[in-house]
Amino acid sequence: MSRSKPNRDGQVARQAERRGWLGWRSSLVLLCVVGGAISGSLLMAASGKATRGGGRHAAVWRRPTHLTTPHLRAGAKLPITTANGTITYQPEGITVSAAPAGYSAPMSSSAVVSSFQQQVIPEDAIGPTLSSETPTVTLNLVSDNRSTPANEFPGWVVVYHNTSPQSYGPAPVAADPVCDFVGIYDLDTSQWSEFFQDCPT
Amino acid sequence: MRPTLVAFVVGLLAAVLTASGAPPRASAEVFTCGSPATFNYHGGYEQDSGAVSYVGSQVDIVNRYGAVCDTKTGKANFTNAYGMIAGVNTFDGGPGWGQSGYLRWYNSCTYFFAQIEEDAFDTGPQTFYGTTCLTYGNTNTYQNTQIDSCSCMHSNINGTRELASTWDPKNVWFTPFSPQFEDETAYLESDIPGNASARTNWSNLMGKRLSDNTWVAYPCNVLTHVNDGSATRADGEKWWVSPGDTCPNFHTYTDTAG
Repeated sequence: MSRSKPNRDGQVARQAERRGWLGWRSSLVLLCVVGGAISGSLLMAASGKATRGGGRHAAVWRRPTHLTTPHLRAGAKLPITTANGTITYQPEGITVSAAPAGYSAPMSSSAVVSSFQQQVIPEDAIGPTLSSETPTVTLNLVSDNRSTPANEFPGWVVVYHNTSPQSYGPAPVAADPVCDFVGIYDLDTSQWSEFFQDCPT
Repeated sequence: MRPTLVAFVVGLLAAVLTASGAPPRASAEVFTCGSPATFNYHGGYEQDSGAVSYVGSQVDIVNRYGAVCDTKTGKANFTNAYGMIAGVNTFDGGPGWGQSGYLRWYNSCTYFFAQIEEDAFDTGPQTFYGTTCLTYGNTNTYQNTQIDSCSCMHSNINGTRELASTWDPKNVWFTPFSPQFEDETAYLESDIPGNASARTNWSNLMGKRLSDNTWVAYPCNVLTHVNDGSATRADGEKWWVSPGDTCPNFHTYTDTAG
């Protein structure tokens, strides 16, 4: 879905609400006429440090109150595994492998990138990167392993590298532009089926 | 048609058309965005302590519209509502979390989202975004939980797993974890979803007990009230975080202070 920016957020929603409100009034009119009648340190008392794999107990959760600048740890890497040309996005349970031999995509790679760049979620999630970076675009057999049996379909996989994350949780995250933002276009349904962003862990 | 009936219908139509031109009763964000907070702004309830420790949380949240302030149009200007399980990393005290809910940005639909983060001090998050616009008024179930069988955490929406961590919260976070049920914005000038006539209802709060991995209804009076937006804004509105008819259900919305 592409869009243009209005001057004020919510014009569309308000118009929709207004339409709904008018519809309710209209119904009333109709009724009247016819019948005669809507933690930098959220450090919970973290009593000392432990090694990874610890499992220490702390009694209280405290919302973060001061900033500790996040930096990715040495050796952090994307939660992606590759083998024999197959890529597995582990958190999402999605595997992409070579497209079936002889498969001819009904949509070109340039058309899919153009579509990707007009989607609201990539525009909002990675913004300027859409114009500054060149994505990797591959035609694949996509397996969504979150369902049993796995849902398989031919798809374009668009990956923008070097994107930065946005925290929606209780604390900021490392803003390093080292994350992959992935869009998967399902060629069976002609729809974007996945948008996700994986950062090094 | 008799003249008196015609006059009644014409008069009624005129009254309706005049009324329909008036602004709808809806939350209206403050136009100019103020200062962002390092940790964003929150409204809702969370468990900071308590006799029972949980490793998972679940909640039903009604999908409501929330407007955001208008002078920042990038990814950092959002409003959302979510269920979460949060923890503190045992290595360096960094915050970690698993959350799922809905969010919208400036001039966008509302979408599902989920995010997992092991340790915000030194790792990056994994983030899922739904691809379709959500319907306002619908209720969806958001669950985030540690799972022993995979030594991982799942972030689920309506029973569908959207994200699975490659790490086990029980291995990397202090216990107890913190279940959280909150709205969040980047600016206080933005609205948390809902208004007085269409509140964001939070119900069926549940926790998965650490002791026996059993899901149980959340008890009353153990959650801590959070509202960073309780002060009256320039537009005369504020964030409301109010108890529901049945504890620990609650409502959140933005509307006139007073």
